[in-house]
Amino acid sequence: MLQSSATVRPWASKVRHRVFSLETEYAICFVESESRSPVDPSLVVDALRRSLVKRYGTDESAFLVNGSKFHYDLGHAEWSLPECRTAREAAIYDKAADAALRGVLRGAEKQLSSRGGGGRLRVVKNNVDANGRTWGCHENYLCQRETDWLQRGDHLRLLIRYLVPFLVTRQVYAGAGRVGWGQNLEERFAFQIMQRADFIEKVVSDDTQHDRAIVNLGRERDTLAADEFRRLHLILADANMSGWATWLKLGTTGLLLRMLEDLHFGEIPHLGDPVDALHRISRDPTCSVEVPLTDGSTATAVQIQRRYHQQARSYLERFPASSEEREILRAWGEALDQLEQDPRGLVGKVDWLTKKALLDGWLGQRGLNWSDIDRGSPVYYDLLKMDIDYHNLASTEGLFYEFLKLVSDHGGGAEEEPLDSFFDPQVVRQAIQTPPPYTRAKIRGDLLRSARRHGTPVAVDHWEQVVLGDYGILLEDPLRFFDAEVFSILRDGKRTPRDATDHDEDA
Amino acid sequence: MSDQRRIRKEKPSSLGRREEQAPTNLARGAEEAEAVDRHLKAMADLVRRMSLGQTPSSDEARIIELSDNRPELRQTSEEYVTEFSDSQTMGQ
Repeated sequence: MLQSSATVRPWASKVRHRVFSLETEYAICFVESESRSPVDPSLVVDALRRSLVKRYGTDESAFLVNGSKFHYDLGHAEWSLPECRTAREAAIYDKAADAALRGVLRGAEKQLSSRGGGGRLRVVKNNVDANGRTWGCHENYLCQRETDWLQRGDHLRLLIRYLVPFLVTRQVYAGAGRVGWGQNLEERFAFQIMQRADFIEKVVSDDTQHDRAIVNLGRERDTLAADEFRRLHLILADANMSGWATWLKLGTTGLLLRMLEDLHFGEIPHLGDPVDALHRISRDPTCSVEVPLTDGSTATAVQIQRRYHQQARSYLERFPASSEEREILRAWGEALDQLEQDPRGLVGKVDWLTKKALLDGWLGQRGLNWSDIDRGSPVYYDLLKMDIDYHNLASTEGLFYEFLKLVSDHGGGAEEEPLDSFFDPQVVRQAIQTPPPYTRAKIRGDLLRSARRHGTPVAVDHWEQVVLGDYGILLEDPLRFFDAEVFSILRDGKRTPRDATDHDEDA
Repeated sequence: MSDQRRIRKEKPSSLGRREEQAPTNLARGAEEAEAVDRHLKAMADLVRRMSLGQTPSSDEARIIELSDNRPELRQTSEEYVTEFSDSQTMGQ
């Protein structure tokens, strides 16, 4: 143990600055009714973008008024969340992204249909197809590059060593569930916990399109805030439909990063083969499979998570904690209890359990089991279709949203369709229009709102810069949320700094 | 457009949810609407109890009768999955 949990270090109480964000690649599909051929995905994303810009953006910018970015990337619609200061905030903005896309679906579909022939637009927040392709939901965490004791290289090695067993086992509450084993479903037609598991092939890698890894170092060289911070980029996780799952995934990871920055942690179980463990845990929805550890023993995913949870509890008992951190700790512990005692209690919160409950119920109604299903049979395709539809953003097709409608008391007379079982819909709707208040997203978003309302000449194409007329303002520090020049522009209307200078010179 | 194509467009989803379209065959439409309504009510109850950790009885499960036994609807699930997968490319 590097440090006794009973030892109080004065620096451990200082506030840790964190930025949380997600980059989600949404699957898109528009097949023309007449030709039965898929429309080029860049055209589909463009139709969505134009509809989004009409409500939340400007023609000159790739960013939207809440500080997020929507663009075409490798055949998908990528939504990058604005920089958020807490896991809860990031999870709310993730739901806001889903809600904004849902809101423009029919408008974009209309645009695409006007090309002739009509068709149905589908936007799906999943990570795999049946042809062996995958796309991601990447997590970003701003963390310190070095500690009081460790230089950056050593701290990175420590971070990898400490985080890998946690990330491998985090799927028991963060997995989105998948029908089929193997990248092409070639191994077995059975349910597994993670969408992405079969596509994770290394422990550490720089790449995001090949050799996908548990820990990605592709963004390690990014310079952030005078090099004080590192951008930890994780590519292994599934996109979540459940806001609770997104919150807990980000929240537990953020909590461990804080502990690492304080060098406050004890012994953790090290996995003999992390990639194999990731796959084996994913393929055991009973959560009882024991994976080999380096000390010759074995442990289940829940047991490994409990070791982290115990250390986090010890940490938060000794050092100041935010109310959200305490809430994360409590929810994390309760989820682990339920996974061991009665996982059905997590239906509605944990995506893979919710999806599995729906699919098991559907099979049960027909007197079928997973082992009865023949490859290529009608039921085989029905289950694959439902697997996709769980993540479908359309209110008329998405099974996650259908689930919300069924379990809520709103019934058919509800004024608003439910967005999530965890977050207040009003808060989510507000997040579509408003940037997070305490990061540079605030400056970016406020300027774009001013551009929409007052015609302020603003262009934002980069995370680290906003352009006012021909005057650029650098926003290198992601934690900077106030700029005096921007404030005066927002206060005085659409004058740019250049306008102001000219005006002063004239005077 | 073939009759087969028209039927596919009007299909309920695999869970029995139905697009809001006026059925061309009123008798069949009313029958299907009733079946879908029955399914949704039963499914709501099923999911509620699942979320509370309960399992529906076999009698209750039998009440939930989906109208997806027709070959054209089965074909549609395959078509749906194929369309979706053919539209995707490798991402990050």
